[in-house]
Amino acid sequence: MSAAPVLPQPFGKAGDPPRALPTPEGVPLRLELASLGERASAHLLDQFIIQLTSLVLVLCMIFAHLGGDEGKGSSSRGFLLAILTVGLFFARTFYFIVFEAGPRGATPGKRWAKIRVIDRSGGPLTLSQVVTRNVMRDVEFWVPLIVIIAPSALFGPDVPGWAGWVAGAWALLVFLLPWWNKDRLRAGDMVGGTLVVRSPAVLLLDDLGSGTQLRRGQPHVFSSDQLAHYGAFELQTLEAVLRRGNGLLNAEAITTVAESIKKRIGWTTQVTNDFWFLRDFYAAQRAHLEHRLGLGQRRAHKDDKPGK
Amino acid sequence: MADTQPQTQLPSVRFRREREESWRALEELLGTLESSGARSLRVRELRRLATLHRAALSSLSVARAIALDRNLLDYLENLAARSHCAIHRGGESLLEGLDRFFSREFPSAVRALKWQLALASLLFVLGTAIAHLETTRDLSNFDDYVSENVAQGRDPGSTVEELREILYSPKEDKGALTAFGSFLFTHNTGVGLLSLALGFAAGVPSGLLTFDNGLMLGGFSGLYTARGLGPDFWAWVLPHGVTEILALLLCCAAGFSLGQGLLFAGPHTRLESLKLRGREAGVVALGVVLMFCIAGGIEGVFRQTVLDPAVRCAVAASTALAWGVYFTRVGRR
Repeated sequence: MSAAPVLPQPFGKAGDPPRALPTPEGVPLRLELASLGERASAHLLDQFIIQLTSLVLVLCMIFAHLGGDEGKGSSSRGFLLAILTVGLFFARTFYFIVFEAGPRGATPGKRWAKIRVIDRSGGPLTLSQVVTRNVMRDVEFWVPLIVIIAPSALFGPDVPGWAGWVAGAWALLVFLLPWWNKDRLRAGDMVGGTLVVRSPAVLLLDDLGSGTQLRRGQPHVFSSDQLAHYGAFELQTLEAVLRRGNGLLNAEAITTVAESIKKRIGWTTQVTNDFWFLRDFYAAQRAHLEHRLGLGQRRAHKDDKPGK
Repeated sequence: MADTQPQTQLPSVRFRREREESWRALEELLGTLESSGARSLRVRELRRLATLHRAALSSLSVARAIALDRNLLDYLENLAARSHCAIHRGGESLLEGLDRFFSREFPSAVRALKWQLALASLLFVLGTAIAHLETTRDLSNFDDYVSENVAQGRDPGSTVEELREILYSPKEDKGALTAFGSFLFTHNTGVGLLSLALGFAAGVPSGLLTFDNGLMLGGFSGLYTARGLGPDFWAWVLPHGVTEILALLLCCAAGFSLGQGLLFAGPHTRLESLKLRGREAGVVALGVVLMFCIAGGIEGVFRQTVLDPAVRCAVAASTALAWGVYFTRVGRR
């Protein structure tokens, strides 16, 4: 399959809808496309690493050329030169291939940008796919660059002007491909059958819905009327606020959120600690919404009223 | 409900409490797998990995249905995707992979490209023939076919001795030879892979590049023939040329195939058809890198040390035979 079906947007997440990747186990995976900015920065970092390595190799080459006296040493110098030439070539050609064919499916640059390459249809990413997508890279990146900077280097001086224009337009077109399709495929991705997705490192944090021993004072109790105001989006926004902790930096946000919730649900009793009030409200609200969810009534946000 | 601790009753909390341990265990195994490969895991651990992966997917499926904890959902989505990618890979070693590649994949990918290869060869031969005939007719045409930096001083003005010198000059310096060979290898591989990748432009530039290479060869052969050195020239060029030209033609053929996939998708969508062609092209790209490597070796070392035209021809013939047998016979089912 080519274009992955689109899963519903998770509540409260802006940006692209995620792509669903079918699995043999039957649970589609929800993957977010890498943005072009992420991919560009990953590529630039990779290019930087490659060019730096090349520079070091070239410097070695120059020293190999200078060092040693004529005659006897020149043979071993030639071998060294050969090794460096081939080394340079392999570093440039196989850098992307070796890293992307590895278990992480990502070059150092991609790992830094927290993105990776996967097979577009959810199968294993094979070596030949990785080779194809990276062989295309030259045509997509360097050729347009040369066309823009020094067209005569590519076409030679004898090529008629119109041919240069046609080739230039085509090179630019290929370069701009990722902007023009919804899966942000570059030519190499199309031919390789690959997709570049985000792979952030998500830590499993404490469950805010479970009771805690650290609390002080009586738990706040909410009536079911008071829990009927919000949906999942608001719940998860509250979660994000609570995850930032009970510290001084977060105090203002906690107070603001607590005040607006109290106003909305009609809470009149005096509250000694806004943070624990919110923790209790979060737990109660989540219990309420998850109970409804179990009954098949998913409420996405406060204006979404299922079953009414 | 009369329970004093309503929170512990939350199904999503209980769900997480029951399963969290298995997620952590999976995370740990994945860490080992990603950093040091499948070989670092024992059989028992690999089995456990498979079980834990399925458990994680089932957890994800349940969590989507019952939980509203954003962090938990994000964590499971991410864990499942990570373990999916780690598990669904070809689990073979490099050696097994190479064996499969050379004994099956590469020759059959080449066989699948036979028509494209025929077209590429036709273009190449056409280019060679035209340049050859035109150059023998009028030597000044040579400059149209061969650019200055490739000619390296060989031009219509060169004397027979100068031309012969290039064909039969033994070089003593082995180091310089290897350096030269490695330069040729990187240059040719670069051109070949470019020709393959240019197939994305409907194959037109690949064809032009191949035709151009044919012109270049024809220009040289025309020049040498006009000076009565025709057979010597072919004996000089073919030992490595057979491998190199074949590799170049294969690149062009793979480029044609890409272009074909782009233009004529057949029963597939355009993206699917590109993907199918691309898989083949990737195999060819890997294979030709090795072919260029061999050609560079022959060109850089053998050609400069063996000067007898008969031996040179024998080597050319045997490489042609070897590739012919390899591509037509190996890996057939």
